[in-house]
Amino acid sequence: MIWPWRRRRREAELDEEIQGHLAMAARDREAAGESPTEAGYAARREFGNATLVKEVTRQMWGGVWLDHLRQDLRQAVRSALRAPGFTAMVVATLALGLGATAAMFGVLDRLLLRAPIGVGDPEQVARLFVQEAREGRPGLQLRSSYLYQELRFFDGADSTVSVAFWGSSGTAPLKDDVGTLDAQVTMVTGGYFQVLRVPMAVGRPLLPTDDSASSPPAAVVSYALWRNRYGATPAVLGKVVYLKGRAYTVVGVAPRGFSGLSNTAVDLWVPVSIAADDVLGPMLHNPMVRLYAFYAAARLRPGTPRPRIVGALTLAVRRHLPPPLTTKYGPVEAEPTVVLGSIIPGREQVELGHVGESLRLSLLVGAVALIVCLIAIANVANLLLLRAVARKRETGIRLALGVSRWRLVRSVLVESLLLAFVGAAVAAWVASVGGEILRKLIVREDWSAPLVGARVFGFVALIAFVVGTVTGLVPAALGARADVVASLRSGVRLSTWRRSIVRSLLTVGQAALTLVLLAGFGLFARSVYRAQQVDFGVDMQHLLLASLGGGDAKASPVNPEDVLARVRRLPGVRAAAAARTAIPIFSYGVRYLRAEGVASLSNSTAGGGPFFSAIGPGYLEAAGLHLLRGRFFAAGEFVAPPMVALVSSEMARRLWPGAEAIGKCLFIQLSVGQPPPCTSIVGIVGSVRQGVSEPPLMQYYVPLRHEGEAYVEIVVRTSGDPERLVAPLTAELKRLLPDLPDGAVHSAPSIMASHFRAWRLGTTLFAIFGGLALLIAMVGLYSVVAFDGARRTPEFGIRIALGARGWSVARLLIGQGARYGLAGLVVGLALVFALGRLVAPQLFQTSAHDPLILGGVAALLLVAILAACIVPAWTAARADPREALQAE
Amino acid sequence: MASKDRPLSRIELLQGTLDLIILQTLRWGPRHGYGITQLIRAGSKDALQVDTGSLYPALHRLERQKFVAAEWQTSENKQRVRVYRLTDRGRKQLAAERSRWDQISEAIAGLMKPQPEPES
Repeated sequence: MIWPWRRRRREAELDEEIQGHLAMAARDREAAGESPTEAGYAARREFGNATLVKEVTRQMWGGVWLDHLRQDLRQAVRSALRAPGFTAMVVATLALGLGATAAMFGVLDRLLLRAPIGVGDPEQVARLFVQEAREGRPGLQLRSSYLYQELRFFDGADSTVSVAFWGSSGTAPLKDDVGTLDAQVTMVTGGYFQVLRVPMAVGRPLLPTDDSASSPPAAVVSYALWRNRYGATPAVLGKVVYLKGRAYTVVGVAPRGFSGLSNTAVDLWVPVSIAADDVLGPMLHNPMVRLYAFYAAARLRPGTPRPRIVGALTLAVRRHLPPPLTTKYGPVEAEPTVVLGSIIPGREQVELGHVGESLRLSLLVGAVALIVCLIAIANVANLLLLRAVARKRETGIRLALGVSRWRLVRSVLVESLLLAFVGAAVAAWVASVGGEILRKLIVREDWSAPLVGARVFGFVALIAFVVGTVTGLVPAALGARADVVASLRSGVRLSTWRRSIVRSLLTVGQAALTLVLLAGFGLFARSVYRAQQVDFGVDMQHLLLASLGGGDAKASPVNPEDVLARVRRLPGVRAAAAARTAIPIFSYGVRYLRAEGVASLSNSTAGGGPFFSAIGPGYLEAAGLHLLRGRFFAAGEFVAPPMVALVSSEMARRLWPGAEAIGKCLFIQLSVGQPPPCTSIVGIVGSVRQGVSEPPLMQYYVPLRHEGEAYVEIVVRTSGDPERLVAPLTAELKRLLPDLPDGAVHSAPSIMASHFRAWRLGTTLFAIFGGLALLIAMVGLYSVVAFDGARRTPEFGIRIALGARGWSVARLLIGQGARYGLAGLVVGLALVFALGRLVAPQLFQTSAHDPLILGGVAALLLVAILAACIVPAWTAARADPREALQAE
Repeated sequence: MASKDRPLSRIELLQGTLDLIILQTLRWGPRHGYGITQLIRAGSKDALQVDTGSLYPALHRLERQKFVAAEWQTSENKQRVRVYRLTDRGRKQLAAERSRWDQISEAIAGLMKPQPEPES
């Protein structure tokens, strides 16, 4: 075969060879007596179609397919450049549609389909769950967490498995020679790093020998902390960091991106035997306190049958857990059983049948992205179809010139594939940008591994190939079917335009899917609105909270009133007060409590509480909590008896239904031993909620006395956005309390943001994807109507020549657009009703069939569709009869 | 591509037959394409007229198969012409094709000239 670079010369030679042949033939004829002109003509006639001869000869050189591909490609590039608007439209549509889907695929892939980063031989690792009966719940429950007391459950269970535990990570102030930092700390058992086979970046992992109360405290830091705080130097080994007053020596750095088996970033890992006392304190040994949970994973020796492992672990658990109990739902027969779960999040959730919030959201977003992708594909197919129709005459000419139909199909395919792959290249870029945005929206963790890698690009390329082939095949088939004579005779005008059901379906489908996305946007936006309307009992929009003493259960060294005096002088502060565990979204307190006339509080405590709070003077104003009845504490009551309390309206209602709560006694156990005295209720305040979908809480308030025993919070109410006061307030507090960690000040909206997150995220995603879909669908409809308008220009010219008004001509096109739009609306609404069930659990106090929302988005879609028709309609209305008729 | 209005008097050449004729023609020495058509027409007393639409593809095919080799020469009219000559490989191919041709034509001739019926 002949390579492309030699081909040009070879073709010139073939030309010369044939010219030579003709010249010699003509000369011979001249010699025989013909005139030179005649001889030339006769020689050419005798030779035949020189172009065809050359074509057939070239095929003998081999590599024809390459040659044809080159020609097709060149032609595709040329025709793409000839219609830059069309090309840009197709490429942009594909880039957005494919890019959005690919970005989503990247996030889903990373989030659900892959083992956590840094875990060696992940297929041998399994999460350990316990299936057991639990008091107050029917049937068997799957438990993922273990208590501190249960960490020894699996010791010596089976020689083929090794088990590790880790705690839920919590924020704690980490002190080092640089300063203080709020770090995410996770307690792990000694075998953790070995069980997960984590290849350390620097130094060594924590070992079983580190996990003993008598060992020197050791810690492993994360790659991110090592890089950002310790300059990525190996000298980090041996560095001493302080956690809850204890000195830990750094022995290793975890590999990049490692965050254990969850996606939540961790800064520091410490051995549980050493840290548990500091972190959990006296709660540690109280079996009633289930505040801190540990999780378990096991490495299974390959080849050991799973039932055997499960059996051994189950036996171990049964040795420790109490025998099956009889719940109030009836006796539960089964004893606790160990269940193995995958460490790949998506697989685990499917295996265990409990679908988490992130998975549900991801699937929702994945479906949304897929819809946009479908819309984009429909649009591209539509555009290519239109062009195929517009090119009927050209196709006819090519067929008449002897192009084989296969060749024709191939050249159309090459064109659509070229467009698809250019679109895919842009889409890959869109995917890497969009993936970053989606990652921030959905997981908010910094993954060190790039999101959009080879797998995503492979995915884009695959989709591009499918899109290119599918969108090319239909127009190609249309072209190959073309009747040469008919298409040459009539051109575009009498083409099969009217009969195209495919095109109508594509247009209507786009409108319908767009409506689905817009409806999603409307429903989620309404959920956010509804959630913001929830009465939290306090002025949640303007609250800041600072914990003095940094969460250490140690005395705060200054008098809160001194701090408050300075805080109140800060600009933007409306009111400030001291309190302890007053607003249960920041922290909450519980005391043993009896109430006058109430036999057992445990019957009334479903939903949590009653919660204990101590509040300083001016608290009601500072928190925005309303005093409903009775009175606030008198100044003297903050320093000396009588003992008084306020209760929330919810507590008053539930403990003393129908009776007056004011004047009743509460018996609060503040210190061990003594029987508590009567604390009389003097007032009733509003009830605080912990979250938008939480019920109002039972809560009682007593005067805060500065006794220097426990840590104190400062509640600040701002006049504007509290987020803006976080930095100034931190700076002001640090002047008095130099040891205060950086993250000591929180704003209520930032904490509540997690409650709104699902709806905000839904709103944002649907807004982005819905907007994208609307844009694509408008472009699609515009091109269909504009093309139809152009095709019918002669008809419009005739109508206008016969006296039709411009408006009545324009109405023809607008009517066509409106018909597509209405059909799309009907189909789209049917889809919304069908899919509503799936999305309903994600909404807040909003029906998935909310008529206001659905009506609104339907109107929006119709307006957009009509807007897309305006320009073509306007053009048609101004059709010049003379020009239109002359064009034929 | 074959055209439908080809003169009836012309003998259709089977694929492969043309190759054989070309190789046979080149046995007398190197020739250019036009020269080959002239020689075939003269050699067959005008009965065989080679379609140029088949000749050049055949020449280039034979060249690719290395049965002929081509080079540019200058003709007596000071014209650059592409001259084809038989290669050794082509010579062997010709010998093989010829014996096969002889067998076929003998067989066909036998068919065309029926043997007398065996007497019963």
